[in-house]
Amino acid sequence: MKSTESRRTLPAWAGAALLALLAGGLLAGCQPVAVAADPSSYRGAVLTQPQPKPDFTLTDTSGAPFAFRERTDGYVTLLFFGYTSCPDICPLQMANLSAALRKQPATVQSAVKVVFVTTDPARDTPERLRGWLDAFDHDFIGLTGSPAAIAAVEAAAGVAPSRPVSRPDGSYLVEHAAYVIAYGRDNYARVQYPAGVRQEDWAHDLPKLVEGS
Amino acid sequence: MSVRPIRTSLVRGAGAVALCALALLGALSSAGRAAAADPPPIGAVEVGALRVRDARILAPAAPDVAAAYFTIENHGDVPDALVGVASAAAATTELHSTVARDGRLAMLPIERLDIAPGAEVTLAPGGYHVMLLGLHQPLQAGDLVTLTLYFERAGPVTLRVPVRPRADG
Repeated sequence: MKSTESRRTLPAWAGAALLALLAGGLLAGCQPVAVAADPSSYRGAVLTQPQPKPDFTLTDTSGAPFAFRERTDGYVTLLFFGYTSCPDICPLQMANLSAALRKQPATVQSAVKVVFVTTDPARDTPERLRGWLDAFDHDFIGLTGSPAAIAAVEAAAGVAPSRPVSRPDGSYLVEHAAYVIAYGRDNYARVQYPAGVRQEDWAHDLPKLVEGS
Repeated sequence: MSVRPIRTSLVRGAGAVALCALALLGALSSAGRAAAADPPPIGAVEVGALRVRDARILAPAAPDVAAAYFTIENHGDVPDALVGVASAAAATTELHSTVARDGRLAMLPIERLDIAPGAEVTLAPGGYHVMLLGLHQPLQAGDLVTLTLYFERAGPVTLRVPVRPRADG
């Protein structure tokens, strides 16, 4: 018995150590390569594979259908999933993006569309969505739909499905992917912007997104 | 979380007793009078060995949800911790941390925020924040929100948190 245990224990330790070494080696090996691949390029996270812009239709804040791929065709399209009752990350992302966009030349501004898809359709009525987006930019597009339709859009865009989390007081918060997906004018996404992205990062990348695709 | 109302009422009770005692005795302690009369300080406050500074709420885009941020400095020799938050401005006031899990961001309530001696802890967008959920009225830049912080060692302290335009970060 004892020898069996120690035999089991040893490979487990060895496996863990090997994994740690591998992970360390991979990280150490990959990071410089990723940086060296395009050092002067984007500050956002560059995707290993370009992702095609999904084709879906949701409802905009005027209550009209909005065919995403068709209506944003040829524009740099910044897609974000979130909800208006989100106190921290969602307004942070939208505020940084809108502030940076406003400082761009008109040629850049007019080439960019920002699309916010709510992950909380029960509370985010078109009116509420419009009011919230207007605090950042009147041109930001807000989309809603049934929970099933929004889940399908999340899947099509390749983000983790959002999920409501109940609270003891009966209210709920929504966990959701919090990065902005940037589709180029050619309708392929190459870059994502996680929650920590700053205004200066947007200022750096927005012209590149417009020029580079 | 359920202890918070009890704590609040205890503190209020103690304050009321103190005020009564002052009135009955006709005490003219200037410190006591100042504490009773002055509105809480704006944006920064000291309690015990702690200093709270840079308190702010970024003008919320939503009519009923906001987040407050500040930095706590511990100038003492012993650890302390932020163990509760309260505000009459919202139905729910909670200390939260924004964390990544399973490809999503989640806001998790946290029971305590430790501040080591000589250290400071910063609540900032994308990290720790005080969530004000169910605001009784919409907030605009220039408004002040009264917020009480409960520290494990230093005790409670109240300050008014200015609402700032978003552009200030």
